[in-house]
Amino acid sequence: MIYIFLIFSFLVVVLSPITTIPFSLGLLTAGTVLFKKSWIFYLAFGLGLFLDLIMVRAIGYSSLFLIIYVLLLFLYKRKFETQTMTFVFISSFLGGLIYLAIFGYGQIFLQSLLDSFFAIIVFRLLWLKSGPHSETS
Amino acid sequence: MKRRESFWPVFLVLVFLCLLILVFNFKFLFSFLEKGASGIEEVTFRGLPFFSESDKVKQLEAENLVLLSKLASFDQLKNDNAALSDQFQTSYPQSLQLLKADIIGAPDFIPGVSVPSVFILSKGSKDGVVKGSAVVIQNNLVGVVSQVSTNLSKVNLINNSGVSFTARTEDGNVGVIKNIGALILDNILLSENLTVGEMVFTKGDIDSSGVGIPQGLLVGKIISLEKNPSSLFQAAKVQSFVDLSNLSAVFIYLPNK
Repeated sequence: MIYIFLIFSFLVVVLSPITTIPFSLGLLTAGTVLFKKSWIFYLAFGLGLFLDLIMVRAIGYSSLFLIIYVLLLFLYKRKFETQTMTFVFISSFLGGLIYLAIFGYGQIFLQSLLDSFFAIIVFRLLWLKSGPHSETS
Repeated sequence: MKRRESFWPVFLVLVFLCLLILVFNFKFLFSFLEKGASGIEEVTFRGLPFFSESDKVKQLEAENLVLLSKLASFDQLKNDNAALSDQFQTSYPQSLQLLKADIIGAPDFIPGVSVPSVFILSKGSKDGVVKGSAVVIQNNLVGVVSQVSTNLSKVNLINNSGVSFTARTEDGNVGVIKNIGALILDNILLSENLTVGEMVFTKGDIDSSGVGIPQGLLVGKIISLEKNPSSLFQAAKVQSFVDLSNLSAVFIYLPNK
């Protein structure tokens, strides 16, 4: 399962220079919901640095946003069931909206929607591969 | 019983690291990382088939021939202007240098759906690029540098809503170029005479350090007029000659040090 996730991570890195759709949020949502491991924070940090470098932004902003986003997912996951398509869709959509609004991009609804679909695809594929109890993987 | 993994230490360490990076910048460290990131960006951007040059280039070349004749007359005007400058001993930022930069990213560009409004260029502050520099292709204004890092720079293109500058028409009418869905030459007095097909040039917006948009760069031509008898000003829709979707490299105006 981790290999599929790595392939998607690579895809996100490749797509980042040519689109402003925040696929990284979708990837992190699916990863956080399924893996429930603290290394997701490192991934968020790394992806954020990469995004800031290629978008010529002040370095650290995206990392900070993504880390806080992952934290919120972790906190929510402690109280409620998160391994559902609805949660993945809504959380990545809302995360995408806030991310795009903060960084001043256009067409934020459409882009967030595309990001949510990407999150669902990643989530679904990983789910099919491992099932819902992936905490030990 | 399996112990739940605590994520707080990792979170706090990483947040602290982010804040440290934001505050202290660490340019020396990130210029190295930036090279790697720009390499990935360039490979991705150039590797995808729809971003490479197409047959439209030929069409552009044909259009350029027409433009060249117009630019020749513009050169004549420029020579006249230089002679006048000598006459009156005026000082205009001289010896501007052009720096070639490859376009390695256009994040908001979806081929067939949208046109780019931002370019990421392969040159940064180590090459002398500064914020506010004009970016051109031939004699056409392409955009203005909005952000600069050590190895990369971000350019807001003329079709970006964040770009606005003064411009003048062939007949000398001065206005402001804005982007409100389309390129608009605004703030021209209603009494002035504008005509469709008239060329629009930059008026010049160089600051005291020599950075900015030089005068006489081609912005485009007027394709329609918007006159309202009750308003003080008239506006004109301007079409640029540059096909932003098809560019692979541009030139940055650098002030001579």
